[in-house]
Amino acid sequence: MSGYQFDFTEHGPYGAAMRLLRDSDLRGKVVLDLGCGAAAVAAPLTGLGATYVGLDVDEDAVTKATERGIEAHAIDLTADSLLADLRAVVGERPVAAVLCLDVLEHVTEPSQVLAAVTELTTVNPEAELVVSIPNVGHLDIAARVLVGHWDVTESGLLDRTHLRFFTDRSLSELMNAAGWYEAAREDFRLPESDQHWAGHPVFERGTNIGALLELVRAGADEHGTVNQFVRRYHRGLPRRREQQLPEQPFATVVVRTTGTRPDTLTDVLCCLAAQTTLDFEVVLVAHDVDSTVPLQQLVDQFEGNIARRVRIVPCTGGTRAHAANAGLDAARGDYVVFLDDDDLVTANWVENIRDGAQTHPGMVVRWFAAEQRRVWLEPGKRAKHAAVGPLTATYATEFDFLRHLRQNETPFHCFAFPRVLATLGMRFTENLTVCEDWDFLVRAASLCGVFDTGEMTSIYNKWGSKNSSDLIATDEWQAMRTMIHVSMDAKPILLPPGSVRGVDVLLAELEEARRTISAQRAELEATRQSLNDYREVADNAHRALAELRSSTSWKASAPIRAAGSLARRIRNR
Amino acid sequence: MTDVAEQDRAHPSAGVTTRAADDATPTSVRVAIVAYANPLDELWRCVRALLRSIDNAFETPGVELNAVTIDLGDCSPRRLLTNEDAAALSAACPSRVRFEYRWFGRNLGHSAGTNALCDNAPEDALLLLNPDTYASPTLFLRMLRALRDGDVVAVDARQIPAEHPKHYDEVTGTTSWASGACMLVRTPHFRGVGGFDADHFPSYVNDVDLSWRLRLAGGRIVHEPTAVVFHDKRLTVEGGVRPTSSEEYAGLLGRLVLLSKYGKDDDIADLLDYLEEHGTTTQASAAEEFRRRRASGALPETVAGADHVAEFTEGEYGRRRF
Repeated sequence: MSGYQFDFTEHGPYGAAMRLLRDSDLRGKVVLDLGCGAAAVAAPLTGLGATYVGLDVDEDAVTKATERGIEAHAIDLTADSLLADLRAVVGERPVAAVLCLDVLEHVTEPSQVLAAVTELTTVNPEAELVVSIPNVGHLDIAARVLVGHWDVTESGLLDRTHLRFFTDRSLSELMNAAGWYEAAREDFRLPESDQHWAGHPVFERGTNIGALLELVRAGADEHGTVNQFVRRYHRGLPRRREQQLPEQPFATVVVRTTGTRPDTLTDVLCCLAAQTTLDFEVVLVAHDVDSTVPLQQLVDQFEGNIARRVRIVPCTGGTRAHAANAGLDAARGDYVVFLDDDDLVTANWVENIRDGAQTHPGMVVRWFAAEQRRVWLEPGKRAKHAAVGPLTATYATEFDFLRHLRQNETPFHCFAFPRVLATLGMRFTENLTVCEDWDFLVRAASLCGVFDTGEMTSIYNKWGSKNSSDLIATDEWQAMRTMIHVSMDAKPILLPPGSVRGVDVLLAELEEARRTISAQRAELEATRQSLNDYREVADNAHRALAELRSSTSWKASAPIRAAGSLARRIRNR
Repeated sequence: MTDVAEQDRAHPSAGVTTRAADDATPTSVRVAIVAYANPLDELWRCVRALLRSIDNAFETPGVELNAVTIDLGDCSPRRLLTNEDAAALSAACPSRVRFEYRWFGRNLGHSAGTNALCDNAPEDALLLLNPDTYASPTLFLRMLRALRDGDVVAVDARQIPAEHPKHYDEVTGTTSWASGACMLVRTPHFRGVGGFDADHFPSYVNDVDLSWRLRLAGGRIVHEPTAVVFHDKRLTVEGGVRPTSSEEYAGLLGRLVLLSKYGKDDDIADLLDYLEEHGTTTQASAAEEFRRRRASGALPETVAGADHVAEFTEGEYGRRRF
């Protein structure tokens, strides 16, 4: 905290801190700069009409500031008497703002400093608090740790005098607990911080691994390149951290419905109600439904054991992927699984997922489905729909990543994924009108790997009419497929173990196929050539014959040929 | 369990409906559930759903339903329910629903167990229900309504997730036979044909036999696809319904006995020939047992004049949709 000689620049964190106070009325009021060091922000604050007061434990720094005509006092932020010391400095003067620029990370108990500031400003509740604090969640630090380094420096992200380290989340928790709530931010970003290791493939974004790490970090939150959090806070009531987390089920089953198929939705809820384990919740996403009342009535028809597990989440507009994201956002379970409102599952559907997740935690759990053809029946029939074909095993029993890059072999209700994927930025791609499940599965599989349970616990209803696969034109499927491939190709992708041999086999098959095609083409060409030769001979013969027949000698000898022919017939009798 | 005044308070619609003269809808039902070594969770699942479905029927305006008894018959070697369990299940019942539990102390089989539960039942109709089921909220109501017409003597529900492939008329619902996994049958007709043939069909194929005898007696059987019951069937990796351990043997033996009972000697010969050639060990055992019974005269007497109800199509009972 002492001895730093940071200069003020408009483009640095201090400049950002000053801009956060630009619209505040500082005139004639005190701005306390805790840990002021060389009082780098004294001039700009004075320029805004504030009464700048610098405070620092370093008496030399205080003396130097005082010599420059700046009000400064020696104060130890860790002293038990901090509040009294601050009050003594401020006196009766109104406080407009308190600055903690590169300070809180230097004290063992920043909450005590904040508590003193909170208490001090009780008489000036409009006072603001501006904080600048290093981000330990910078991607460069993560990369350093990944390669086994924790390199403390004289200054910077891992300054040797830092006692506490903050991420965006932990900073917010600290501030909220002290009763300070964020009003504005101008975080100082440095894509290449002082911890960057130039030329190292783990750090460089242009490398595969560098790009992958950036992808993972960027998915988690938007603070991977923030060097300093620079934020302004206003006062509020301290928020206590939740001591008891709400009940968290093992799984969240997301059912998307447009409310137009109550019969099949009832069947789906029956399937869920009959599960052998009830350690799940149901998020029923009502997509573009005018009123959720009929849906709630349908749910309320069920006994409480299932009805109380169902939450209806309204969702308006957007694609089916938008509804999927609404379900994902509402999910609380460790694992998330989707079940459309017209498919069916066996009673061990959730149990099978749970068993898979227990033996292979963190992985995508996959099983497979039987397909059954169903049709909607015309009015007047006893039922609205009926099965018209047997259960058939049409889907791949084992997940093959490479094959899934080409086409989806896993219905949406045949895989479950850890919900924490959402905290890595995994979302359903909302500009996809179809195939959103395929796109998500491949990306999830790339990150998590896939565990096949080997069980068939789902039934995919293939409707003869009125379903999306019939209504959506082939060219739309093709367009979406292209979009997915373009999107996937924009980022590095992890291949699961076994992929090398898989690719090798595919390439070998391709080479063999090319050889075969090449050989057959050559054979075809030779055959064509032979045919052409024969045609030429035949054509020549025909031409010669035609010439002969049109010749005078041929016509003149006609009676002789006729006599010869008659003689041959007589001999042959 | 409650007096009439209390019932009326609980169900304002009760007692104010007028019933059409030709309305043959049952007004009281006994639910017969035969259990054997079922997990307690499964029994609770079954009863929980059933109670809700019954309650929904009670609450439906225009439905004249006076009383329902749920009779759980336990064929397990040890009691599945303690007194406390039975009391808890009983306490879960709404008014006008009574829960009874009987431990038979021996494995009677589904047929004899059901017959025992239904013996002397005063209710209009009997809902025969497997314990590994989950009734949809409207199952009870829709099963009742399917018996509105007097000529319909039994109805079965649409089973999910594996829908039964048997054929039914898409408009009238008329079908060859009703599945005993979830069948509502009029008590007088059930009793009139002697209930299940427990001697020859202790647990399997008994529903087909019962249905055909009901039809021989002039009754109509219907399938009600809007009445949905979840039947806890598991699937094989090939997409088939996974049979229970005893199903392969008992099901095949039952099929052979059924063919014999309805005079299908040619079909028996074909089936036995096929089993001789392609049958599994279990199937061979069933065929052997059938031959033994035939030799010892232990097969049922042939039912005469049953060709119009005893429909065997490509080895299956009745026609199939797929």
